[in-house]
Amino acid sequence: MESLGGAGGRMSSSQREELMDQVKQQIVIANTQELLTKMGEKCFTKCISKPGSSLDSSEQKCLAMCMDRYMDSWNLVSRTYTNRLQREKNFR
Amino acid sequence: QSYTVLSSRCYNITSSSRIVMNILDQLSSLDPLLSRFIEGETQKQRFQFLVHELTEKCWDKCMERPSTRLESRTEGCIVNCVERFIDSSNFVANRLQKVSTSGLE
Repeated sequence: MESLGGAGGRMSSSQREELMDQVKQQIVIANTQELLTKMGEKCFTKCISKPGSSLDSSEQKCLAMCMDRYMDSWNLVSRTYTNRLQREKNFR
Repeated sequence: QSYTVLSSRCYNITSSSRIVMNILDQLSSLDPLLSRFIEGETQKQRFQFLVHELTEKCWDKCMERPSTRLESRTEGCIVNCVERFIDSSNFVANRLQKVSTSGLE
């Protein structure tokens, strides 16, 4: 990330906007990579029990299903956690 | 300090959260007007961190053989897993507080 102002210097609002957009994009990329890494590990564990000389079709099918189920799980956890936070907020 | 959970001194942190906190740390020295943005993104990342962690833990506890959809039994297990994780975190924090204020050293 290039510096858009001197140390402690103030940026123009368009520079700030651009910087914030860049940061938001980098954050999305970092989280997507995290998701892919974890998904890859979990699905390897679930689907590849006896590593052969290549991925056979049943292993590939399992990996594809596993990825979708991992996404489903991620979304469910996100919803459940959000709902819980909302409930705790309403309780106070 | 509201950032302690995601500080880089936390050992068991996801790499995405480490990356994000580094980015936000660098930003804070650039422009004071960014502080509200930084706080917001830090808050969001704290949420993402928990979701990554919980998905991993609850997957291990609840998922059997992946099929064409999320079975209702698995869904129920995941929901319970998230709720009980939060309950047990609260329990641990509350009990630790009680133990430490009761004069035990």
